[in-house]
Amino acid sequence: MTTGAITTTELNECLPALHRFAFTLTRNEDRANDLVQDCVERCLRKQHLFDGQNLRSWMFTVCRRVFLNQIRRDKVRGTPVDMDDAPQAKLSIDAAQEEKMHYQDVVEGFRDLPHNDKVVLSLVAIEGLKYEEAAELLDVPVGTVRSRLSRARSRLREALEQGAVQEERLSA
Amino acid sequence: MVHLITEQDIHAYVDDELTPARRRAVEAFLADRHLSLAQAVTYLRTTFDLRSLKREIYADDALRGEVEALLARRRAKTGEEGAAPLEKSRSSS
Repeated sequence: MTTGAITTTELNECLPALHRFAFTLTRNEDRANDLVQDCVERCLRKQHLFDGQNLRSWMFTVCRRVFLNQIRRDKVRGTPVDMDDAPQAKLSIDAAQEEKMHYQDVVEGFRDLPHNDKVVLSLVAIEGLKYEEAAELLDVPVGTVRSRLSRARSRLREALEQGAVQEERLSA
Repeated sequence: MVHLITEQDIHAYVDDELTPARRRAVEAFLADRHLSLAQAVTYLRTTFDLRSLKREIYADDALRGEVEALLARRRAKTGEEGAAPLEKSRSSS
């Protein structure tokens, strides 16, 4: 079956990658499924905007936008867990608890970064400055901004992975 | 077409620094590679987390002071007046 510019075969081929994308963003199976669903609906509604080149790339773009909109809408930290909609209340409590521990890990991981890395990550990730702007303000080449960002994020990721392993051990 | 995608392209993708053509190339690359994809989305997620945790992050007075000074310098350069200073963390006030 063809749905305008996008065929269902093409759409189905994109779903595994899209789901991985959504799961890493939401860190939760239910939320990932919802995000994929929203994303697919949006892609079908907006398919007249698809340039016909790379459906998977376009779906990633849409997925990222849908997730950003959800985050902006939510205002509160992370995605709230709706206790009424949750299949089991215990799962919801665990999810909320996990979310809280994750944020704690982010704060602690960030705190342990070198000061210069914290500054560049704050300017780019929190304040939304372009690399060029951050480089100019810090009076360093753009390449330095890139390498500090890369290092800072890698360190933070390692810290978060270690935190996740420790939490798994504690809960085992 | 073969695109050479570097680690820094992945960061630039996360930070919305790419031209539309390059962004498509990176997305096509990520779409086919589970590991790079996981890495990119983790970074993207970290960005969202850091924004949500702005108050806690800026509880570090030295960091907040420096970022505030840099942003003030930027505002002075671009002639932007009256922009609000960074929110001071409750925990450090």
